Amino acid sequence: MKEIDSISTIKRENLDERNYFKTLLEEAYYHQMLTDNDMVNLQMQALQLLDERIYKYNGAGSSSIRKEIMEEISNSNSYTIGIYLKTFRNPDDAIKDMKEKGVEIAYQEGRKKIDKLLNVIRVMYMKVKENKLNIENDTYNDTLIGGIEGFLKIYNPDFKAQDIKITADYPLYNNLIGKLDGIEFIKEYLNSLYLENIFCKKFPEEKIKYLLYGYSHDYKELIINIFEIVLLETIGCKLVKRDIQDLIISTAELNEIYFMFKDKEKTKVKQKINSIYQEIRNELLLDNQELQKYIEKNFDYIVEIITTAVKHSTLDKVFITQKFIEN
Amino acid sequence: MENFYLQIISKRKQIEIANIKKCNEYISKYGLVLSDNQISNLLERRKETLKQTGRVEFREGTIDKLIKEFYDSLYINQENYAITLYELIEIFYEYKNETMDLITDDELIRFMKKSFDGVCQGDLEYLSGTVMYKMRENLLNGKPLDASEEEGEGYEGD
Repeated sequence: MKEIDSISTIKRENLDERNYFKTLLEEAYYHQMLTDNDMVNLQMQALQLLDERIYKYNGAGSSSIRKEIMEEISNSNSYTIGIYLKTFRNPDDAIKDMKEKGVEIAYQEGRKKIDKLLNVIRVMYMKVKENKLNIENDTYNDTLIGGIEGFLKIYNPDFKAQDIKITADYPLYNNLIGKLDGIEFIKEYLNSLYLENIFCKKFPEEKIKYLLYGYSHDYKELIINIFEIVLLETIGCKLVKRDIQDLIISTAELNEIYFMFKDKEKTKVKQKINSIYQEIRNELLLDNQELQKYIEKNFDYIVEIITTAVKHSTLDKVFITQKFIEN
Repeated sequence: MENFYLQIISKRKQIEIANIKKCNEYISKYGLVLSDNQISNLLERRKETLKQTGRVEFREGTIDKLIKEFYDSLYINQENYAITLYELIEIFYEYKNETMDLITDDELIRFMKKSFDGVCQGDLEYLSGTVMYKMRENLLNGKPLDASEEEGEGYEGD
């Protein structure tokens, strides 16, 4: 608790999650927590570490290496050090620790942390497979089964810790691309999938399939986020006071929503959606705090989708209406 | 950071020069000597080649390994000594890339020497244009490095 309350000179929000080590050094230098000598010393240690890691990669048989491989190893080292430095809530403490113990120790600690994260990911993967939706959507199934399994097989924490080597094609409600790398990305990706599945599992799979069919007859091949479509439809149902378990609305109800928001300002729409969401949360007994945070984190995006669709009269792309299923 | 790199590079350069001079002392018995200017040119050529091939040298030793391997070649004399080394440096790094780092420095240098003295009879163009290219193909196809067109035969007929 004391650690949380202590004030840090370096603000965590000023540090780039993807270049944590580098930006931490820059911020520490800016705030005069590191002197010129400290910087040279830490850079020398980083180079020594790089030299050792390249030697391990190449073995004794080669004295040179392709530049792009050297850069990959260097990025891997920085990433691994960053993983350790992020374990300090207070960035000032991370700098203090690195100054005292050195770059090599930070790397080793980061490497140990990656091994622990790998174990966490293996457990998470089992859980995600257990709560996976039985819905035919190629990117969903391919990413969840092939993609993550591929990652676990080929991830190289020693020399390419920042690289996930797979394409996580299935898009998430909270996009992670460009925000995280390596094992942190996979962990967050799996956790997001797990939460999205928990929410979707509150509805019968047949209803979800019917909804997706209404979204597009080709939903099996489309790159879509199932959770987002389901979440929006529950909002749609609730707006017209329909049972959210129906997970579909009629065309008349769609018009009702359109007129409900037609001349409303975005803030009013937001207020309405927010109160509707509270009702949905209570009705679905969403007691999972993490899931609540996950949904609410992107709430502005949901409001934006709805207001834009009202403006352009494309609400039928947001709230799916009943369609006749062809055989 | 850049200054710091320069310091390291400069330190490594001093070590390399000292190592090459040590080779000079020994190899001069065989009538081969590199002048300070030639040593400097060798290092410059290596630097250029590394740049061209997109490689980074992180341990010293390639130039003195080449010298130690090639000094006793029948096709090298004081007149062509430095020029031959310039060419060998280029061939060496080019084929470190071409062979995708699948063979060690020592294996590559030994192969170059064996071919230079054997099938190439001192012809550097033949070495770089034909023999090394064939060696690369052999390596990537899982054959012995010196396998010729006819299966099982080496360049020199063994």
